[in-house]
Formats: sequence, structure tokens, C-alpha cells
Amino acid sequence: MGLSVGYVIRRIAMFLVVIWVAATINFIIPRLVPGDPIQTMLAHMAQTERIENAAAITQELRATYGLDAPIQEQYARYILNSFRFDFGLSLNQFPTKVGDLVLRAMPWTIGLLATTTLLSFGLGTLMGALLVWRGTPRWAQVMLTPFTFFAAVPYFLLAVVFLYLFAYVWKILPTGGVATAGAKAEWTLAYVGDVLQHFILPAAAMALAGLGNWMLGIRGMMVTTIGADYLNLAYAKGLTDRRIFFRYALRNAMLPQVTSLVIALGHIVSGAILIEVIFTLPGIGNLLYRSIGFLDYPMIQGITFVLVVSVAFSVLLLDLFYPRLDPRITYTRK
Amino acid sequence: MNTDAVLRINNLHVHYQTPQGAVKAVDEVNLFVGRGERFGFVGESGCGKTTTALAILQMIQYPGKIVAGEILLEGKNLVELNAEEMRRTRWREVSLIPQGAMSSLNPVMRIKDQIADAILTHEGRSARTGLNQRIEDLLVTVGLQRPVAQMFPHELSGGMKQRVCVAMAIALKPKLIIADEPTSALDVVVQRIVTQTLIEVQERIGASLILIGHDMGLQAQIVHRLAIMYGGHLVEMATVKKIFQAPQHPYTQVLIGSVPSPKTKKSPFALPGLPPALLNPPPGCVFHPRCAKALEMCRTQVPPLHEIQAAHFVACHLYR
Amino acid sequence: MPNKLMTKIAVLAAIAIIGLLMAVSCATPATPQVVEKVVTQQVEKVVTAVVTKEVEKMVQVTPVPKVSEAESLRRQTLVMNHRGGGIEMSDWYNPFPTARNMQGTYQLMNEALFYLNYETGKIEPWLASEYKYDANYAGVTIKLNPQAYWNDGKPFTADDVIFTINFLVKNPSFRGGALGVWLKDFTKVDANTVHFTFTQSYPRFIIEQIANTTCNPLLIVPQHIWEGKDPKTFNNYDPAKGLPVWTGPYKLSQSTSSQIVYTLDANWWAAKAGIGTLPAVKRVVMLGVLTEQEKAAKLLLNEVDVEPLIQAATFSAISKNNPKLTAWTKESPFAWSDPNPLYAAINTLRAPWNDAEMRWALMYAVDRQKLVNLSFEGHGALANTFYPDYAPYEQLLAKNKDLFDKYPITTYDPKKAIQIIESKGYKKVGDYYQKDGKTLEINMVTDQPQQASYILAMDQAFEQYFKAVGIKLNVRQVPYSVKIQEGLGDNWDMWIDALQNSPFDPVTALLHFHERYYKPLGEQRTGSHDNPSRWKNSEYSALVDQMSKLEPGDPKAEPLWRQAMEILMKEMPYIPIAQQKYPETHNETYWTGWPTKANNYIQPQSWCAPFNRVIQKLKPANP
Repeated sequence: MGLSVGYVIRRIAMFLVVIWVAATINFIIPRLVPGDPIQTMLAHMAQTERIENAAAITQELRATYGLDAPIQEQYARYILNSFRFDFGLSLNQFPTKVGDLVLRAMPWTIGLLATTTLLSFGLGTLMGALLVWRGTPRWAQVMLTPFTFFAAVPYFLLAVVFLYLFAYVWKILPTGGVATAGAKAEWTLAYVGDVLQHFILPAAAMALAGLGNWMLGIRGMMVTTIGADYLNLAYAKGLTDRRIFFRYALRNAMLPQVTSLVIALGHIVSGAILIEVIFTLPGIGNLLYRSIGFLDYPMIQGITFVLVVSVAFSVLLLDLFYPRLDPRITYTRK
Repeated sequence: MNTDAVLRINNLHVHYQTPQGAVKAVDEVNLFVGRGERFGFVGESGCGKTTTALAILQMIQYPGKIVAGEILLEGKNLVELNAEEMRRTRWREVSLIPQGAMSSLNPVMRIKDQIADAILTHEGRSARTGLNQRIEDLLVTVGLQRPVAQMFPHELSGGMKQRVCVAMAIALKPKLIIADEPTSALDVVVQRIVTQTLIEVQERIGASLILIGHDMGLQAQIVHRLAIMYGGHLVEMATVKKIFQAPQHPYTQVLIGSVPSPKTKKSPFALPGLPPALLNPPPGCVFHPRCAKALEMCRTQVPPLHEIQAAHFVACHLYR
Repeated sequence: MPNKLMTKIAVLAAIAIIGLLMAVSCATPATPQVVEKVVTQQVEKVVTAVVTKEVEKMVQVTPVPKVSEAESLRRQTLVMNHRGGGIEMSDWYNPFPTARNMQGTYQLMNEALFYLNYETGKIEPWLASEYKYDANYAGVTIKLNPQAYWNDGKPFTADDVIFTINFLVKNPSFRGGALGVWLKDFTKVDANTVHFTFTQSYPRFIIEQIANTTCNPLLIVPQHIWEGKDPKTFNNYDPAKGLPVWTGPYKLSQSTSSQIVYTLDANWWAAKAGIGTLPAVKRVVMLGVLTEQEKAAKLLLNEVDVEPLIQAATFSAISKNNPKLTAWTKESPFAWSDPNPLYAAINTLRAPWNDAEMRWALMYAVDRQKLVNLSFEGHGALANTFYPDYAPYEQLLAKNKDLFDKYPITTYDPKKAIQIIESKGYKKVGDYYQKDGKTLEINMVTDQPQQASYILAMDQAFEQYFKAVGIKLNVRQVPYSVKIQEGLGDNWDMWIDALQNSPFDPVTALLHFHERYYKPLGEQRTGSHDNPSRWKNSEYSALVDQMSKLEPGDPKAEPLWRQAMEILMKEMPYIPIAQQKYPETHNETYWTGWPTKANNYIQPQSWCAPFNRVIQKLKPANP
């Protein structure tokens, strides 16, 4: 399929280099910016109790974080641990492991964002394509057009409006959180239903806000594709309109969209910060938001690293599988 | 050549609606194509030959519209069919070999899938059995190798793509094949081979062929009968022999005169003036502003198509 | 064909929407437990019905009481919100290695030996029944309540206390580990008595180290659970096995990153022993709502019963819409004060602010009442010292009112400020004063406006007031952690923070300015509250030392306090700014009996240990 073994190896090596660079930047940045996280922890402790032995505590914490070792050793350990997804202990939620916290938050974020990204991609692509398809009746085009407006509306604004209308004014959906207060977290139909109900508003806000962008993206490509000669021939072949729409027009027009989709999916692990904050969802975005407020470096680094890896991995997958989508792309060396 | 007509076009008018008024792309065209006949359409760009072909397939796109006339395919008036009936008619009864074969194949589908698409749409699921074999046979028929079926368009040369288009066009054994300048993008050698293939398969399945083009020389070698179009009008229609030996219409005479000949080594003759603006065509005969033999009445009256000899039609006041 | 395609898509869309609506409507009936019940009840019913073949009758006879079930459950539940953000460390119930305030744990599950009542200024015994200092405060004997037991039934004894102190002393970075600095020895006297020997005379051992001055008292852990565990890594979390084991009225039933649920322990020792009341609240849910909007929405919809942190302006708005929402006072600024007022430390080693008169010029230059009102959107409370406005302090300050007449700390008098500046040889050039070609400048470090909403208005007000008297203010707004680090250094003239305080012991704040924490320029300070002004006054320090040797509340301390205070007021190494007021909002829809200024049985600190007392007082409102 247009892939040579050499290419795949080169591509994977490239992927590893990207990760190494990311880990190195992760290591360097906090050591350059002002603000000592250990002192911050101490200050937090000092607000609730009188601390007479600040120097001893500083010493002990520096040892716990390995900050007393020579810089080369710190770096070597950091890189090694990064590849094992071990980012040490969170400062804000000391002494919990960053990895554990990220893992715990991940399902909520991925569950919400993967669904909404795929949903808005699917719907948006279809709707945007129908917008310019000559077979679409006029009434449908008129009805679809307003949805492109959402490309200009930020998702968090939609979220606040939805929250106000559905939760506060009409009281038909819950205000936030992942389940009713006091609901028992277990695998029962009732609990899952409860959780889904809590996800309707954030999902609707995310999906709707994404919709407009996907619609605009596909619309432009579709206009170009509709003028293509192979579409004319497809008509002459007497194919059904549906087949022409999906196999000939949409299939070709959506190739650039797929690239955007893969990148978007790579980004979901960093979460949609504001949606999670607005709806009190315990996902990565929420975690990141709080970590930034506290300058919880290990946590920020952990999340950033996961983000870099997932985007790089998505792009790697895209590169390896793109020839399947577009046979004109080939990585075989001529 | 059989005398009964597969296709008969009566009084066809195709207009393109623009804010400035109607552009008369095809004006008052009458013709017929016999069974098994190869019929040529010649004229310069914008004369209405491709529009006529698209009108047969009912593929005139907005703002174009067939405003009057009949297109009878074996007695069935295509103009009156509804969209679904017409879709079923396409390819099954009239197929098309497109102008730009280079870009007429879907770049992301394998050749066999693109051919299969046409077959399955019209013949239904029952055609699945032996489908691959059938497609490969078709490819062999047009002089391609079987593995081509598994290939993508970008892996083929221009000539191969055009052959694929030919194979596709004959897949359902239609009654009529419309070839719209099928070889214009190919070099002369390939052109000849593809044309040869086209004639072979057309004869084998007994279909009629409409060949659209502006290359008089090529047409002369292929078609039985030729129609000359100018400014949306059909100006002359007769057998190739008659057209070349005794062209009647002044425009045809210019066309024939422009065919280069190694014997005479004359410099090609250039017709003065420009093709007519179809939005606001000159009154009377559309050709009169460029016609050396124009009469007074040519400026006012449109000459009807007139059979001046048996099977030789000319639209010119000179022969009234 | 085109239309057909669209029709098909439209039909599909319609089906999808209907499906979605059905999913929603299926999920709608209130709490899942109810749904579960409804489902099981219905299944049972159908089974019975099939047997008796009286389907319709059965359904009609017992309609399912949907709403009232959820409602009755809600009426037994107290919903709290986490202070300052989301729930953290939901599977970590070891309070020692973390700097985080494990909210929920302190108020509901574990208990203190002594509680501090800020309103009465009393140390209230709880798990301990009494304490008695040795002569000269060289040590203390603490008697434990012999009736106390852990929620797994095991008795609470001196062994548990000794075990806990033991590992705290070994781990100075643990919460409470600072204790080790003061202890020479600690021994078990009998099963319910322990004795501590101090390294030096320490009359504040109970209040500072055991009851602790703010949120978190010293926690004692059950030896039979913690023995053999590494206190650095033991997470003390396993609800299935009954962990964590504490003595409090509630047990952990569920802990996730979205909510924590506690259920009442009917066997609670304090209720059995008769020193406490078994709470009417059967279940407590802790949420982690972050945004001001959602907090407001949840309070308005009666989904939350107590919200610890909200802006006064927000409270003012929502309490108009929901009259069931109440706070400490009915009038602005509504809130009980945080124990740590906002102040600005002045670096007394950098010219020209090393001159006390110049520091007083700063005091006169700023209309702080106006500044505070601007900063807190009309709901500010001016601080005239570093003390919170609690009853014990108010009384002390009222008795010494003449000091404030002599040193007019809250007087706004820009003319006087200008007079002082000009007397020091400054000449006005353009907007600002100059001396020897140098503009009169003051460099201030504050948090960023993102950190707290008042910062922006406060910084601007300072700038305007200083400019009016010809002082150029340079502000650096930095992230919290940077501010803390900068504060330890000396590259500033003015540094804004909240001063760590005791609720009723005036010595705690005075100690921050003691010369033993003094560092000269160029040296880093050790802790952020340790003399940030780098101010050195031996007379003052001697007075504070004398006071430190007396127990809080000792009448001999008062004249010493007055002398020390006068030195401080003359020198003014800091500028008091504001009481921190965040109205803890109580919703009386489901529960009444909340502490208010009129009914001040204890301070309203739902995020801190003394909430243990509040929850015993709550009565169902039965709406």
C-alpha cells in the first residue's frame, strides 16, 4: 500500500525524536521560569500552621523531587521516566502520582470529546456537503445555512447559554457534575443514564460549536469537487444520487477534513478546559486548569507530554494510513 | 448502415438563462442517427455540439434548459422522462466517453470498482456473480491487461485511462455511445490506436456512435455521416463522402478548405471574424457576417435546414 | 434521486432525534436509586400481575411515588461544595504528607483532641477531656476521653496518640511535623493520659500545635490500622474494608473525582457518650464546583446547602432571588472574616522606606476605606490592624482605643503625606517628587488578577493615591508561586499577602515581626510569614518574648501587648488593608440552625474541622 519498510522505520524513529524533544523541553522550561514550586508548597502549609522548620522541610521536599541531584542526573532520570509515563508526584495534590491523576481523569475527557468530535465531524461534514450539493432541496439548504454561524461562536459561550436556559430557566437538564448528587457510581443502567444525562449539555455545546467549522471546511472542498470531471461521468453513468454524493463527491472532498479530524482527535487528551470547568467535569481539562493556577509543574508537564505523544501518534497513524484513504499518496521511494 | 433511426432529434432548442437574456446554445437542431451508424459532429468551440450531446443525456446543467424539441431514442422521448426514468436510461441505453479522460475517473476508486459501479447500479445484485471476470474481459476487449482492474487511475497513462473509459462505455452494451472528443488530449499515435479500438468495440456490440470533434481529418476516417454545426445551428449534414467531395454550405467549404494537405502545401486558410455571440446572435443566418457569399436575405431570414439532394441537408439561402 | 436522498436523511435525523429524546426521558426520573427502585418494583408488579391476572388493578392500586422518594432522600442529605475548587486526591485519605486541605475529612470523619471556638475564644475539649501545663509551661499532661472509640469499635487510647506523635516527629515535612521542634519527650502515663515535655517553655503548645490556630487540628490515627504502614505512601483508602478508620460521625461511602459521599455512623461514640448529638443529616455529599456562575446556579436551584467561597457581590445578588440563602450577617459584607487579613509588608531596609516617617506618609496617602470598597465591589471591610475582626480582638482593641487616636492608622490625609515627603527634601518635578535626581518610587509585588478578583482594582487604587501625593508606584503582578518566592527575597518595597493569624491569641501576629526572623538585605527569608518587612526592634522583640511565656488570655499579657503594639504603630513596618470576606452561604431550604452573628455558637467554616459542631446543630427544615 505505498509503504516501504524503510519509510515506516524512519517515520517511527521520527516519532520517538519528537517525544524526546518534548520531554527535554518539559524538563527545561520549569527550570527557566521564576517561581519555586517547593516554596509554594511551603507557603500553602504556612497558611494553616506555624512552620518553624522551613529549611528542613525544603531540604526534604527537594530530595523527594530529586532536585538535589546534579542536573545531568536529573535530566537522565526525567527522560527515562517520561518514556515510562512516570511524571512523579503532583505538587498540588501531593503526594499523589501525576500518572494516576491523569489516568483517572482521562476517561471522562475522552468519553466526552471523542464522542462530540466524531459527532460534530460526521454531522458537520454531511451537513456542509449537503449545503452545496445540487440535489439538496432549497428548504433544506435554507435550514442548514444557520448552522455555519456556530463556527463563529465559542463553545464555552454556548455552554453558558445552554446552562442558563436548560438547567436554570427550564430546569430540564442538570447544572453540572457527572451525576446527581449522592448517586452511587456503579455499572447500573440507572447510573449510566444519569451520567449520560449530565453529559447532554456539554456534549451539545461542544458538538454544535464544532459543527460550523466542519461545515465550512467541507463546503469549500465540496464546491471544488462538484466541478470535477469524474462527477460528470458519474452522472452520465446513471448512478444514484446517493452513490454519487457519498462515493464520488464527499469521499474526495473530505480528504483534507480527515487530516483535521485526526489532529483534533490527537488534541482531545488535553481536554476542553473551559467546558470541563463550566460543567465541573473531572476531566483532564479541569485538572490542567487547576494545575496551571497552582503552577503544578509535574502535572502540567505530564498532561503536556501526553498531549504531545497523542498528537504525534495521531499524525504517525495518519501518515501510515493515509495511503489507504488517498491512493495517490505514496511513500515508496521511486 | 441501417436506415432505421436509433436517435432522432427534432427541433431542439437549448437556452442558457443569464441576467442579460437567453443564450441560444442550440437552436433548431434536427437530426437522426441510424442503427450501427457512426455519426460525426463537427464545429468550432462553443458551436453547440457538446451541448447537443449533453441534451441527449439530459445532463444540461442549470442555468441551461431544453426549451423545446424532442429527443427520441428508439421512439422514446427522453425530454419527457422524469429524473429517475432518465437515470435508468443513462449508460444502459446511452453511454458517454468523456472529453477529459485524464480527470474523468474517480481518483480514489479502483478501476474495477468504477466499472462495477455502473454495472451494479443498472443490473442489480444479480450481476455480482462473475463480475470480476466480466470487468477484466471488458478491459481485455479494449486492449488492456487484466491487472489494470486492480489499479487506481493515477497508476495509468492517458491512453490507458481513455481505454478504461471506452471499456466502461460498452459495459452495458448501450444502443448509443456518445464520444466527446475522446482523443483530444492524446498524442497522435495513441489517438489512432484508441480510435481504432473504439471502432472495433462499437461494431462488435452493434451500437451507434456519435463522435464529437473538431478534427475533420480524424472524422473523415471514422464516421459514416457528418453534421456541421455553427453558432448553435446545424448548417450541413451528409455522408462523409459528400461533405468532402462537394461541401455546400460556405462554412463547410471553409472547414474542408482548412484541412492541411501535403500535396498542395497551401497555407491554412483562416476565416475572418469571430464566432457569433450567442447571447445576441446576428439576425438572419448566424454565419452571414463572416460569409463571403452572403445575400441580402441572409441578413434578415434564418435559413431552414433543407434537403438539397437525397440525404444531404444544408441550411443556406444559396440553395433555395 | 436528489429529493429522495434528502428525504432519507431527514427520516434518519428524525429517528436519531426521537431516539435521543427517548434516552433523555428514560434517564430523567430524578435519582438513579429511584429509577432502580421503580424498575424493580415494576418488575415485581408485573410478575405478580401475570400470576393473578389482574394487571390493570395492580398498577392502579399502587402508583409509584416517584418525586417524593427522591425528595425524601434529598431531605436527609446535606450537599456541600469544596472550597476553592475541585475535589482533589479522591483516593488519598492520609492527611500527613500532603499540604492540601482534605476537605470533608476534617469536618465529618475525623475529630480533634481540642477544637478552637473563635467566637468564644475557648479551647473546647473533644477527644481529649482536659489538659494541664506543668510549672513554667515546661510540659503538658493531656487526658483523653475514655469513652471515645474508633468507628471500627476499637477504643481510642494513649497508644494511638504516642504512635502518631512518633512518626510526626520523624517526618518534619508532614503536616503537624513542626511539632518535633518543640518536643523533648512524650510518654504514655496511662491508657488515657499522655505527657509531653517541651524543649523550652511553651504556653501555646495546645493552641498552636494540638488544637492548631486554623483549619487543621492535629490528627491522631488508629495505631491498629497504621502500624507497619509507611506513612508517606499509605493512602488509607479502601471503603470496602472500612478504611479510613476515624472517630467522627460519618463514614466514607464513596469517593470519586466528581463527588464524595459520606453516610452517618449511627454508632458514633460522642452520641453514645452523651457529649454530642447524633446529627439529623443522614448523608453528606461533597461536590467540586469551580465557577462562580455554577455555584450561584446551584444555590438558586437549592442543589447545594452550603457554599464556602463566593464573592460578596454574588451573594448580594442571589440572596435577593432566593430568600432562603443566608450568611453570617444580613448586611453587607455578609461574611464572617477569614482569620488572615490582607496587608502590605514594607521592606524597612530599602531607602527611603527605611524611614518610619516615610512609611507613615504612605499610610496618610491612601484612603484605604475607599480602596477596600473599590476592590471588593462595595462589600469591603477595612482592617486597621493585622487582626481579624473577631469578638476577642474587637474587645481588646476597643479597650485600647486611645492608641488609635494617637496613631491615626485609618486617617486619610494626603496633605500630611506631602508635608512629610517635602520635609525630607523632595521637590516635585512634573507628577512625582524627586531628590538628587531620583524619582520617589515604590515597587510593589502582588498576585495576578486571575488569582483573586480584587487585585486589579486594588492595584489601580494604590497607584492613583500614591500618584496624588507624587509617589510613583511600580506594580509587578506575578503568579502566586512567584509572589511567594519574591517575598522571600528583598527586591521590592511593598509586598501584599494575607498575614497568618491566630483566632484569638494576639501574640501570633506579633511574632511575625520578631527580630529572630530578621534577615539583612541579600539573605533569603525562611518562611513567607517570617518578618517579610525585615524589621528589627529589640525592645519590641523583648516584649513579645515576655508575652510568649504567658498563656493566652493571661491578664499580665495585656500591658505588654499595648507596649509592643505602640512600637509597631509608631514604626508601621506594614500597612493593614482589608478583612477577607467571602460569605459562606447557607441554604435554609433543607437545613436550618446555621451559625450567624446573632447565633454565634461557633465560626462558620464549613471547610474546617469545627464544622463538626455545626452539623450536630442542623435541623431539617422540611420544606
